[in-house]
Amino acid sequence: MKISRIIIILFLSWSMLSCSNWLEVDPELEVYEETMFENEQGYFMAVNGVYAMLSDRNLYGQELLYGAMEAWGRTYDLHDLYHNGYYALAHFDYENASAKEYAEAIWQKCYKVIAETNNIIQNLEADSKTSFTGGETTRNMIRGELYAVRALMHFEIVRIFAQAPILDGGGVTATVPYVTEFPSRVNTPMPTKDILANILSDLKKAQEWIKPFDTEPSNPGYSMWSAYYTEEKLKANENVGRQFHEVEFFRYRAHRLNYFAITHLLARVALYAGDKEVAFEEANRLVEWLKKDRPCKFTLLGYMGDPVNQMPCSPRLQEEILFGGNNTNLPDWVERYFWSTGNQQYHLNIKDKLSIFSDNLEDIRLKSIPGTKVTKFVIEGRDEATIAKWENLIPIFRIPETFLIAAEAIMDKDLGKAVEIYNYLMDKRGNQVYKFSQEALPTPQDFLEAVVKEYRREYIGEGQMVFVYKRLNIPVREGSILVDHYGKLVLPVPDSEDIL
Amino acid sequence: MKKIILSKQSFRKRLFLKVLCLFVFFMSPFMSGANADTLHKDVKLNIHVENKNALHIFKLIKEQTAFNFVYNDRDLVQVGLKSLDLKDAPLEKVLNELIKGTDLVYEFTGNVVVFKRQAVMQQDTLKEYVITGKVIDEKGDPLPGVTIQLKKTTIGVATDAKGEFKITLPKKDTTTVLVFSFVGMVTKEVKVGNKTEINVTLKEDVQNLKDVVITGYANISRKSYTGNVTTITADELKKVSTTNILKSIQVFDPSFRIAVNNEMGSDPNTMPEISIRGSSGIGITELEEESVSKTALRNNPNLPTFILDGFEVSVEKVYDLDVNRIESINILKDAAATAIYGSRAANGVVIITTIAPKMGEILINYNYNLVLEIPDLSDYNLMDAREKIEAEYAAGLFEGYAIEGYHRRLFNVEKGVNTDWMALPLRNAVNSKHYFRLEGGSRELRYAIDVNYFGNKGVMKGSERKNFGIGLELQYNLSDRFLFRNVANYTATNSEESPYGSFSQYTTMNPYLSYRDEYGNVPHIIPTLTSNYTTTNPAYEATLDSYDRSSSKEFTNNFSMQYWLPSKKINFRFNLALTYNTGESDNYTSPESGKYGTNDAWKGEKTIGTNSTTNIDGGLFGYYNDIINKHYINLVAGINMKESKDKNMSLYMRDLPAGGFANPQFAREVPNPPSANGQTNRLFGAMVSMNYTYDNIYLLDVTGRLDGNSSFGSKKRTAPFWSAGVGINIHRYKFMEDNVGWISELKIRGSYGITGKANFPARTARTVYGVGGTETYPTGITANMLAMGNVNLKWEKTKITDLGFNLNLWNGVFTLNGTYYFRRTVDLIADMYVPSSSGFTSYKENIGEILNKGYELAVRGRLLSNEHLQWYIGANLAANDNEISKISDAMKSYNKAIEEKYDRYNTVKPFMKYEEGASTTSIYAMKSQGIDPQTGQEMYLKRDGSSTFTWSSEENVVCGNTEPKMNGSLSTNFWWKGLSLDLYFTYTYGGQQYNQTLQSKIENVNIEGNVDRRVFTDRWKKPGDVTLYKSLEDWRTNTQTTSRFVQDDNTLSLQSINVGYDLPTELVKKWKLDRVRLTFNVNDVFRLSTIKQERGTSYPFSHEFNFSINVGF
Repeated sequence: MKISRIIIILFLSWSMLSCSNWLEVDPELEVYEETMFENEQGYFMAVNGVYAMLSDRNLYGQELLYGAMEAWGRTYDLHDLYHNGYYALAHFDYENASAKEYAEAIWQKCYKVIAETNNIIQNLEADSKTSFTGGETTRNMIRGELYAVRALMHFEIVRIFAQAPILDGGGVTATVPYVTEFPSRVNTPMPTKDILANILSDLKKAQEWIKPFDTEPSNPGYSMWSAYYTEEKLKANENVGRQFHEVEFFRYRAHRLNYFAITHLLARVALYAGDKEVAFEEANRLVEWLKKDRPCKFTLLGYMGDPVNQMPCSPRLQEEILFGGNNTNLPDWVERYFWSTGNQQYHLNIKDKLSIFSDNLEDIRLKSIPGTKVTKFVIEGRDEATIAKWENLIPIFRIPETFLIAAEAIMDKDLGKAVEIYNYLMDKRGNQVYKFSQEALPTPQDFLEAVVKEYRREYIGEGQMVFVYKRLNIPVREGSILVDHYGKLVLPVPDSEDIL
Repeated sequence: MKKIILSKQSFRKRLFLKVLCLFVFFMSPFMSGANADTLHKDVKLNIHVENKNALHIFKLIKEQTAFNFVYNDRDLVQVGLKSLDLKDAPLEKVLNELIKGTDLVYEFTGNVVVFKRQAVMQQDTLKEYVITGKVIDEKGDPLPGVTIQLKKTTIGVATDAKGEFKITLPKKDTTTVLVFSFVGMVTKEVKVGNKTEINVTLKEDVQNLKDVVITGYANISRKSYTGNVTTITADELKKVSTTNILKSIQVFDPSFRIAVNNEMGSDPNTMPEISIRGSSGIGITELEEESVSKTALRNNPNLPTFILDGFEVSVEKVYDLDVNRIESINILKDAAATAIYGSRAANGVVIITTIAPKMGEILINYNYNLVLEIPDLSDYNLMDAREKIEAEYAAGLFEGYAIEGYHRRLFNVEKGVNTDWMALPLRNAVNSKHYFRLEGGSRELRYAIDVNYFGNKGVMKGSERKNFGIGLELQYNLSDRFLFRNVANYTATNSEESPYGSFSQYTTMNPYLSYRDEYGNVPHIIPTLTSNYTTTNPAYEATLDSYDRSSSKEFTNNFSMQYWLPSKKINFRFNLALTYNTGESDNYTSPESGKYGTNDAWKGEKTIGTNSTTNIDGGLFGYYNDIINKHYINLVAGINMKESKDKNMSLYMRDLPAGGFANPQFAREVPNPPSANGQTNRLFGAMVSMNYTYDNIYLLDVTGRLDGNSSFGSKKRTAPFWSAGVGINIHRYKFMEDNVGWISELKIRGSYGITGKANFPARTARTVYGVGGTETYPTGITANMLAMGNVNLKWEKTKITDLGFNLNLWNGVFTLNGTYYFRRTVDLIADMYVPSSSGFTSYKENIGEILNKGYELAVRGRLLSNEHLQWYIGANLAANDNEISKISDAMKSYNKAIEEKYDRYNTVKPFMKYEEGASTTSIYAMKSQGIDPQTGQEMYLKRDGSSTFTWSSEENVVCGNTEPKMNGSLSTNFWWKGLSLDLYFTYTYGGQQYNQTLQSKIENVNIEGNVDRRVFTDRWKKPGDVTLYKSLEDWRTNTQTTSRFVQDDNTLSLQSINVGYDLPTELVKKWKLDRVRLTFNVNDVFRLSTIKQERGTSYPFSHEFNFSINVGF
């Protein structure tokens, strides 16, 4: 009996000592938070995750681009049955089950991205051990990008789910929360203007932190975006035969939320918030850069054109993109709505395309729409190989908007300057018809109308129009019809926020 | 050669034993004569002999007295020839004269005089004396470990490995009785008399499986055990169902509940959802995202742990197990029984033991089952063609110009179209089940081979589950010190889903439509006969070559080695089990399927999935059994380690050519890279368990276990679990035995302990990043948060108190067992719902405590019992009450934060799911006041007591509970000369159901499809009508969850009728067989319920007829 006891005791003590290591099993495709942020690779992966989510179908992969937002802005000829949720959104029927689902999905995804950024930010700010390739500059770049992503998501939330400041005394109603920590389980809504102020201050910080990385020639960001060929800025195709940055994470600089994209976003938010001074300052700074053709360039006339007759063409306007997403599923998603294949009844057809271009039926952008589909997303026609190279690219910010923001922000103060910026943009597009004379300045109303029209022509299928109407509190344009929205361009806060 | 000699020797021994027994038998009447001791003193004898031997003298004495003599002839030789002349001499004097000059002595035993040699006598007169002997079984094998006890004392020993024993008894007493008992053997009592050597043969006792509790780590006598365990033997199981083990268990232990699956009915490929004694967990039933299988209830919070021959197995494995392989099932319910399983014990443990090979000549057993399954549509009450068009007419579907549609439909009906849509996907399934077993071997080496096959076709055409299994068992006994056992099993399962799709598609089709067109084809689209509308034909998909199949193959090898120390009191056991399982799933949708439009860019899809699991489970245990005076100790200590590795991969392809080219090679597009994942889980446990008995009256069980689990967080890798149980065998008290001997058993026991649960996903407590996902970003690999972690999370523990008694009168004529339990799950982990602005909709939190309390009663009576006739009746009942008894502090402070937030913004308060006093199976709905006679709209009652017409989710309250308050079964077993009849009824009482049929087939009925016949009765038509349902014209507005449709669900069903007949032995012997048994069994004969709703919506229920024949060679 004694022997057996000893044996048992020995076994127990041996096993107790050895089992704690044995029980440490790392999941194959999962990493615990503690291990995730032990080195720069972990941060890179988490940041990539944030970017991948931005390109999700519920965000810029579809709903915030050619999907729900574009339908809400009444671009398409929608069918009650086949586009049920989109139809309901366009007709302000936000209680429709399908419309509710879109709102719910957008809300949840935006806040999921916010939670992700908050967690990385928290880890990054508390972590002084991890060293990054490129040192503090890189650390600040990551921090800046994350602050900017957080601001961007809050901006999307506030402009979709809260009333526009113009109808809300500058944004006094508290509708949605601004979340800056993780985990944060109960979040109190904040007045719209405070949210916008928070967004602006976050963006300012981001701009400061990221500036060296993207603007100082010694840093990797600079060398990436300043390359001459877009292929170099964006590692578009392995066979291009050019040099890319050896650190994978530093590639695609021109389409990341870089210094220029953040500047653009700052201008956009400031304009929405009614702070035209800041809007002009930021937009104009970028306009000046762009005039020197530095970070991005306008797609040459004809090159963005009709995929059937023009060659080569750049329907995604990859050279104009300030901030872009990427999703390998994008071809699949757009195929359902815009390609000649598939079930016709689900297709999204532009409603009365001629009314959009009624001022100039020779506009190359009209000519690039042979049928009624948004050709930006079609990969069919003559030069499929070239188009296919960009098939996963999602245009989120493009430079024409920078000019329009700058022009709109300065028009009250200096209409001449506004016209000058506007005319520059018209020249670049080869649309002299739309230009105003610098000598006989238009009335502010006419000028603003021209800006809105240009938004409409330029941003077909990019989910921006509804916010132009909302921001300016002007009627929604459906073909040639004006539809008064009576301030109803606000989606209700989803049930998942309130009913638990 | 040696063997033969051995058997000859044993033959001689046996002969000797028989002689000895006979001697004892014949002698016993003399020995027990009354007052014999005093008799010989009064006797006066006259003896006059000359040179006569002792026998002659005895004869003379016998002529004068009633005395008899016992002696050994050889001994009497010493006496030689004597000459005696005595008058009126006492008997003693005569005898003393007789033995003078010899070493003989004599002794009076009653009226018998026993002569012995001095040496022997001296030993007898000592205070203690020793008896030796050997215990063997019917086959002549020695039985080690048999307990030998002096009756009514605790003096006892056990046999050694050779079956031999040696017992020292306190004083010579011819009335001494020794009790020989051994697990699984009939207890035997032997009178000692004058013997010094007692050899006993014990007979096997089949019934006595019930006297042993198998905990998976040790076998303990039920009489001395304080845990709460239900034991079911294979014979009992087979009486209820030969095809579904889990269903049978439910009948014998009502606390083992299988949730009624109203959706999947009798689908052979749907795994049942099981709980023991109510549910202790909520929420984490989440199906793993990748798995499409219905069977992957991986993290089901209430699933008990299944242990097959000592190793943990999945519920699927048990579902597929052939009932013929089973010897017994033990259900461990309270902490005293389950704590030995520590972190796997909270939901109860089911121990399944398979048959071990028997020694002897080759034994062959063959069992054949013919199973007939017939769909049960008795819950459907649909309209026929004529009724339906009349209903449509009445509903105003043909108003105005539409009347043409009515005529066309009527024309169809007149033509004779009355399609029984429900019959289309159904069939009467005829299935065969085979089981073959061969066993035999010597005492050293035994073997068994079994093969089984079951092709289980479901009642929906094309749905099938085929099982094939083969097992080989070897057992080797080396010099009674080592026992090696190796069991290898291979099983293969193939399952296929019905190509007809969900049954619900057929119950809504209109009977006046034909599923064939005029050419006899089955078209994809059929005209509805009103204007240009068409409807899709569900029968079309079944004409295509689409399929949904899966298969799995499993190999297991269980090895164990046992070693006894010479004393036999201590032994060690080493176990090692290896399981390797691979599975494949293949799902193909034909490009011709109606789900694709004519212009679709691609048609046809295929998903292939593979998965594999490797399990290694090993353990080392030490056992100690001893009897020291009145103390009986049974101790087990050991460690076990387990590792399971999962791997799975799935590939989705599309755009396949038409014409049945389902090979992946024909797929023109692979949109995403294959998804692949793997998971490793490790468990380590160290445990000690003791069963202690004092004087067979006072019982004690103590168990402790320390478990480490890799799925626990890093800071809390290990957790301790323990239990203690006490009991008293009141019937063993002397005054009870003397006064109320008819009470065969009266035991009172109680236990308390803490057990746990480890079936939580690893990401429960920690924030985990998922790497890769389906998207890779151009700038590298992505990682995203999978869930919101909770660093403050504590592991869930279940504290179980269990009190019970066992009563048995007149040796089984009447038995009554009762239990009261209290199962408190503390730090219950569940989903806490949070506003989605947190980035997630829920996280895991200790939301509070769940209390399951209830009682179980089982009564059984023997009405008749004799050689030819036996009749038993029985009933059992389990009542369980489930309640969220306490809300945690975390939950309270969270609730407060929410309240504050909503107070500030003055918005509608959210509806809280977890409230103290509610149950985890509560039905939430808005209180209804019925249909307002004025408006025909439903009127609701708000929480504040006011009435409203608007439904809102915040106003939902508990309106019922899906779990019945009590359930149980009633049974009767009748046996007459080899013919047996068994009936099993089950019942449930006190639960509610949300009657979905009332809602979707009557109130919100889509009159354009087929409907329940009740659709017209009780509908609101005009103001003033007091009705149950709102107006038919309102069918388009969906009725939200309302208490109006919550109905009491009390049921009684005849679960099984079983008729069996053993062919007479004489007849069978003529056929050179051992035995032949015929059984006929009907399952799910009928079901009565207080709620009338459609059951088996996606897959219908069925009646099962089962004919089986069992042949033994």
